[in-house]
Amino acid sequence: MTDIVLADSVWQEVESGTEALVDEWLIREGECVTAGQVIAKVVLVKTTLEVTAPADGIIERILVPAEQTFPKGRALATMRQA
Amino acid sequence: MTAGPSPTAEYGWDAGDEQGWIATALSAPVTTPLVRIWPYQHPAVVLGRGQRAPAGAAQRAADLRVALVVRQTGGGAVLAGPWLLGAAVILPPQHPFVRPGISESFRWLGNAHAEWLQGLELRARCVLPAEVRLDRSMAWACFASASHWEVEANGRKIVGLSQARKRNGVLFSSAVLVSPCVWPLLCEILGESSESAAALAQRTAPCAELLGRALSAAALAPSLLETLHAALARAA
Repeated sequence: MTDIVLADSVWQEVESGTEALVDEWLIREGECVTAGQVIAKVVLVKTTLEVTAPADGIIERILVPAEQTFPKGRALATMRQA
Repeated sequence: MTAGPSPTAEYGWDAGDEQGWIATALSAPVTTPLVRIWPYQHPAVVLGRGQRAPAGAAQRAADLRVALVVRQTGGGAVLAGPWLLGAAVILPPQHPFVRPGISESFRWLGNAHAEWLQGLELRARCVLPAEVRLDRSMAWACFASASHWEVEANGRKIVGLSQARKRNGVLFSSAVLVSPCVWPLLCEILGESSESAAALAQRTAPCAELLGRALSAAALAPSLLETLHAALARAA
């Protein structure tokens, strides 16, 4: 199982305690995805970012639903690699 | 006719058209920087991506003949109109101005705007990451807070910045407060209080107010375009 996480690098110099927002999920649990596919859109510090699948596989669970916020390092979803 | 640029590929006039231009530009891999300046001619509430329009906002906007638009970038709402000058810069993902951290990526854009405003004799400066002032109770309004590398004078915000990172390219947007904004109109449409409108007026500093003379966004557009092109040329 692989956690899907927003890369730490984008959070550089973002003040501690700041959370990002999941704007929308573009896939559902159980759906097959390919590496690099955009699966969600999130917003952090006035910036919209695309979350991509790190590998081919199946999305097992969405851990942060749309319109909810999450801190640095929190897994947004889990996937099982093909 | 307001003095300013003639319609060309480098200028646009409408907040809805702006989002269409951006969507088209980002629909294919971006290989060279694109810049367009927007001296908006008509009022439009422009919501940030991820921001949900409050109940009734669409109807109130329609009643008041104000467009309601959702932009590609994040952040709070702005009220576009003749008082605001927008800029959109779209860069290839590998461009040197696109840094890994989103805060650092705003730096070049903030510096370019501060330099441009200093050229207008304004004492403009960027908000450093350690100086960020966020008002979470007014997160719905772009100009209520001072975020990374946005531009202010005397502690009052002049320029808002936002960003959208896509596979095909990275969009940087700016909004410059040229003359006094009709804050009560923004608050009315979004169902916010008159106190919020007053707070926005207190926290912002239109260029015209700071300089003590009338200014138009259209008249300032060419020099902002030139400044952004110069900044991009330095990075090349």
